[in-house]
Amino acid sequence: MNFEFQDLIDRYLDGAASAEEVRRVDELIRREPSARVALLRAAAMEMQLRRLLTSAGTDQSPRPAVPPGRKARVSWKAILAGAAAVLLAATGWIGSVYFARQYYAKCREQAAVLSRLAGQIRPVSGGRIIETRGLVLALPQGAGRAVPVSVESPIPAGRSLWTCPWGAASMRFADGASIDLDRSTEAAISETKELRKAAVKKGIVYVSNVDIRHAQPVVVTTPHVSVSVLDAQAAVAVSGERTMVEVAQGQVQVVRATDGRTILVREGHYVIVDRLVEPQVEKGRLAWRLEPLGP
Amino acid sequence: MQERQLFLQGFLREERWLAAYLLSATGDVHSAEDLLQGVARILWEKWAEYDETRPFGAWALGVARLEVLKWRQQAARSREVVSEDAMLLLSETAAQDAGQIDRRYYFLAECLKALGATARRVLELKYAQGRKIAEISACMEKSVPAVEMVLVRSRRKLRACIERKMSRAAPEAL
Repeated sequence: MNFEFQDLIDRYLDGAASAEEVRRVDELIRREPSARVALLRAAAMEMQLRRLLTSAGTDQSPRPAVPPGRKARVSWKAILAGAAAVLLAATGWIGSVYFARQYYAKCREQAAVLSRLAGQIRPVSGGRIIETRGLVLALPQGAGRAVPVSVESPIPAGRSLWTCPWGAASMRFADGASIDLDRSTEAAISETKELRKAAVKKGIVYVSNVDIRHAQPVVVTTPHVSVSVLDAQAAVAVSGERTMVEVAQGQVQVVRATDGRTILVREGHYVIVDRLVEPQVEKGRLAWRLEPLGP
Repeated sequence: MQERQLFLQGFLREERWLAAYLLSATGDVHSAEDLLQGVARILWEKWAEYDETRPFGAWALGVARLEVLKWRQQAARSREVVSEDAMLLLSETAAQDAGQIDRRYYFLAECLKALGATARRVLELKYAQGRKIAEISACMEKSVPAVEMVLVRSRRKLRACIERKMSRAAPEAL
């Protein structure tokens, strides 16, 4: 069997053959018994490669890839805001007691500067990517090129983020809630006033939405479940036919996509939602050996 | 429970060549996967009607053929697909070649280990993660033609490796 014929078969099996090439394949199948055998064996190899490489677990990371980002949760912004408030108060107190008259104008000016600064460090909307490792790509919806994303860029609207097998990304919203994407994860992140949503196609995301005043839920959807994370920290992992939800803090509601059944998962527990098996909430660490969340 | 196990045993024994038939007939891996799941579901639903004196593979192939023809009616409206005659010939050849397909599977697992790191990575992105060539090229920071070439060469190497192992093992296998 020559390379030209083999390449034609590969294009056909990849779904990349032109109409003319499909007609050639059809003719060869009908005319040549050896072509049928070659095509079937190539098809078998394609299907078997999918199974062998998927079962090798190469696309599932057993550990969170972005733990350091969590340590920065009490961020420089909060520290700066605190420092600004202290400085403002101190300046005001000193000014009013000792230098009330002569420094009044200056204090006002200083207050205005600090107020503008405070406005800058408490953005009212728009999540940002705060940390990446390796290569993280924004995938186009249809035709178009996948483009790398960088730290401090806004979460791209209308595009999925994909962390390559050696990449990871951490995102934070204006109110402090965060979503981390482990390696080999694909998710589309969207944000409205009422809701933050991560539609996860595959891989693992870690959601932290705790200790936030007037917090809004972060909703994670997968082909199998919808998970609402509010006052909680949770990991959601999607792999083929199932989704796993593990709760590190608080509790989350998991809604099964097939029938709308609600499952409550509490801190220190996990549930695996499968198409075939009835979901059971279990206590303890996961079979997938995820490291515990948090700093 | 025992019924389910019996069914699974029968289905898993025939699954590889059935999958190969479905992909070769459709030329689309997603359709082949969907059809395979559909065939498994139908077989399980009709399990009570299964005549145990007949080979499981022949029964499964009969169902698979019908499902492929149904798929063809739909797919042919939007794109070029192979003819019904070609599909029938493929199903016959698949049933005859089933033993070879199974044996090649075990060699494929061995041959994969012999591939280089780049080839292995490209294959993982394509097969385990279902990535498009353009995405693989962006992720690996290589050009699209370079990724395509890695893929072509990897497949050739795997085929050659399997053939070598098959020819060495042939005397014991036959």
